Amino acid sequence: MDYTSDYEASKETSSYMNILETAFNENTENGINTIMSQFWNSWLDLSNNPTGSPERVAVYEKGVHIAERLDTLTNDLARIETDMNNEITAIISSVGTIAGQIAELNNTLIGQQSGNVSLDMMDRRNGLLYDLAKLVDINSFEQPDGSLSVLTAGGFNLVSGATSLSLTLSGGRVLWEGSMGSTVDITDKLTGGKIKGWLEMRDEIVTKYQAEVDSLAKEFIWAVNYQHSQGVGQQYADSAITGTYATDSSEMLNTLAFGHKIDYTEDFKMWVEDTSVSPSTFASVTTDMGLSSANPTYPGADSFTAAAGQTTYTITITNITGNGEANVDNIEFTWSESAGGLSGVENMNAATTVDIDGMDLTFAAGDLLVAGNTLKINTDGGGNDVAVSLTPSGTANSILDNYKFTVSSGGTVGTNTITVNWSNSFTTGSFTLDASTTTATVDGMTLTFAAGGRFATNDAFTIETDSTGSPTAYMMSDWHWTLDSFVTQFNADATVAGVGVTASKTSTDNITFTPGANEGIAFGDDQFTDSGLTAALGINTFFNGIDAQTISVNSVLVNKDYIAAAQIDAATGDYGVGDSRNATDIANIQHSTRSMAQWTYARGSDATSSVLNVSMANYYQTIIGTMGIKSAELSLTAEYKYEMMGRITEQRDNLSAVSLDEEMINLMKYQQAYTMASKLLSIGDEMLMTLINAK
Amino acid sequence: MRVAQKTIYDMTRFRLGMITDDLNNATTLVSTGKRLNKAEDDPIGYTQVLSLKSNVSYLEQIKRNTGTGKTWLNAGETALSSVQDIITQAKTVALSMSGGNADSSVRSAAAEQIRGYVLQMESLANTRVQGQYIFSGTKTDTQAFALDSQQIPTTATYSGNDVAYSIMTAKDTTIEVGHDGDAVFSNLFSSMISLYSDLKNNNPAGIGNAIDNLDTDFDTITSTISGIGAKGVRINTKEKIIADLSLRYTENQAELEDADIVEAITQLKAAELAYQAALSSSAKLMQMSLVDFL
Repeated sequence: MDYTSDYEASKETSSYMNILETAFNENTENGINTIMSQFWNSWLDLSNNPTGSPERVAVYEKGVHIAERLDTLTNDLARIETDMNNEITAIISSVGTIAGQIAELNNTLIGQQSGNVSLDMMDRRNGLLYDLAKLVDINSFEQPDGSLSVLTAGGFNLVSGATSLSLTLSGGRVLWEGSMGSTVDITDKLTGGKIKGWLEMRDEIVTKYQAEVDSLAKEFIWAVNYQHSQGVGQQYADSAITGTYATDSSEMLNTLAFGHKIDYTEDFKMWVEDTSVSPSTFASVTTDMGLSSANPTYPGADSFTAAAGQTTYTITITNITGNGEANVDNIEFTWSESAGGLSGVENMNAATTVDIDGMDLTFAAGDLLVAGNTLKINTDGGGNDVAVSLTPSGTANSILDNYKFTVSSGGTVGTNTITVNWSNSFTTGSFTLDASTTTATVDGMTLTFAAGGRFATNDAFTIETDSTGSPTAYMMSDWHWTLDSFVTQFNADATVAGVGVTASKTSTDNITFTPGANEGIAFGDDQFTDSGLTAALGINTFFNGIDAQTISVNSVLVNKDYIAAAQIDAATGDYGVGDSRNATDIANIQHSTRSMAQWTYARGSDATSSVLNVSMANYYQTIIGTMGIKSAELSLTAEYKYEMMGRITEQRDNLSAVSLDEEMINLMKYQQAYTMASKLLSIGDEMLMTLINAK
Repeated sequence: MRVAQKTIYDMTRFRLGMITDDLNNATTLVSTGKRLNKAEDDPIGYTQVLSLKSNVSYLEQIKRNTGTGKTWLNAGETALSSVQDIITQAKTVALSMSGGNADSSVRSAAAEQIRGYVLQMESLANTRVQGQYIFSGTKTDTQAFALDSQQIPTTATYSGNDVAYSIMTAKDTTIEVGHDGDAVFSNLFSSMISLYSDLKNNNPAGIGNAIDNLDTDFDTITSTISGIGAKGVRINTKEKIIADLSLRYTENQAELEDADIVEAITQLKAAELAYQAALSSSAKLMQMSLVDFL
């Protein structure tokens, strides 16, 4: 019976694996492998003829093609999941029916006495048991009263005496309904039968490949966008450009979808063309995207003067002279306070301490501060700083990812109940802290919060994980960039550079760059290494979206002139329309080694990931390869189980089944015996007759 | 050992099932001609085939790149050879005019000849390939050189840039197939234009200088042409390598992917035979039992 369950499970998974392979479609010309090759090749065609319109159209169309293919794949995988759920629903009601029938037979058999047992019914019950074994894994025990107890999933009763219990499906989970009306989620405990095949397919296999296709899509989008954002099309943009990626409501740049890819050691550069003169002149605006080298310290004895009650101070570095070195240069801080609406500007000139509304912020001599950095400090009722301190540890399940946390109900750590919602690229969750709990487990990481810190509602922070899953936390009280602080800093830099372009943020937390009169704007040049901010904001990017389902080509590129095949000459700000360096750089991405996550899903435990450093084509080929190996393994297992089933059935039948020849011989034997016996009877009868007839 | 009737039927069904499965596989092999129809047929081979297909596609693209490159190089070489001819002729004129036996009217006539050469050079410097100027650097939509006046030229202005147009021939290799027109032509234009004005103004000393300048300019053009030649050799070598590699990859792909037809048909025949044998023996076996004989 175990073999039956195992065989059915393997057979179902194996046949759906074939469907999964068809979704990937790699032996036709519609596989992602082929389409991606065509995409890279279209950039090389463009590099041969950068001014050519058909080549530009081809690049655009190939981009649309790959985006659509990835979306179709995601839809196909989702459809397999739906099919699995439908099958499971159907099975669950069958299980209930068969269990009911076994219970009825039990009822009849319990009453019968041992000598008078109806073998017919017992056979029928056995048959039902085998049918049930095909659907779920079961263990059965014959009870002394003649009934058969059937258990599933390692110990949950389906039939006990004359009663049967049932399973239901709710929210995708299989629940066992106990006799008291309670339910237990047994989804991960089912280890055999068709249902296990489908659950394995749905929860381990499809989810794994979906996650890996998403990881590939995300890396692909970033790689192409980063390089594309550094190039220029056939002309500078003369109308406003709005970024396609938004931050969340906290506006921290870390919360952009690709916020964790921003390299804060590099800068942001824009070139501005003045078309009011002929030939045009060019000027550049550079914003240093660095992060200050150290956070300020707050003397414990000191406190903010502000209005009584809890409030939040926002402190931004708005101007520096020289290198922004504490104790050497002049550093201007602009502060504001939320509860009372107070604000002010303070200067720290060749000093290491600055007084912000009564609180002395202290730096060490030599600390480097960067204009545009900002931070937020929460205070308690007495004006003391109670910024939350967080120590993350452990290994996150999702490597190379960005976890974004938002406080939905705030409070003081170790005193109040605090609820925090989080999300990463694949999943979401939430956790609660209360008076006795100051640590939380999030996706494999342990977050330890220091008691006494205060979260206000809607506060946010992020955790970034590296290629080994090691987490690093970025709190609001660490120096960071927000949309506001970047916009302010950029506009200041633009004014200094003497250009009219302005930055602003939209109501949906995107950024907009608006050129001044007679101005055109473009980004990056042939000598510049970008911080990644341009691509992360979605400016001058090729793709939109963050995964295989949402990927699409930036609608700005409908005007094919904006496909960035060329690079600006750093010395002049001008460029040639026949320049193809950006196009060849983008084509070269196919050879570059990227770090992407490989996933392992197991029912009953969290999904984990580990890093794979290969080119994107190799990563995709690895996906197909592992699928093939898994498929072959399942086929072999199914064949093996089938043979074992055959063998064992053979052995059982050798003992119990009927051999016609044997029975015929037995029949002849008894027939002869009967004939002889009746012969004896007639002889006896004759003898008696002789006796009776003797006078 | 007793064997139940049921066992015989079950075994027959099982074995027939397996044989039909084999038959099915053999038929698929023969009809598609490929031994890799699903990833599970040979997972490692399958991924290798995918990788090979990408490589072949990339090499075909590089071939297209080199084709474009060769067109540009040839156009450049043709133009520059004509320029060399012009320089030679101009030098001849200058030589004959530098002597004392020429006077201002003869020199005036010669000046018109030189003016003609200057105009020719202007159009050669503005050679186009597929609508793009090859001597403008990467500003291929802009005319490389413009004379300030056709009648009395005094300067030729360069409007391109200094980044040469390149094509990509390998992962990290680009070859320049266009030119920075400034470096190639500017000196030449100024030499020719001074020669023109010296002839018009009857200035023998200037004419003498012009001969030396033209010699230097001739050498510049020669070295540019040999540069083009060298790049042409590189591209040809690249093309040969690509052709060889492409062939190798395609062969590998065929080895992994394609079925050996002879072997496949043999297997199909064997499977068919086994199937027929199994069917006829099962038919005989299933009918017999002792019951028939009593």
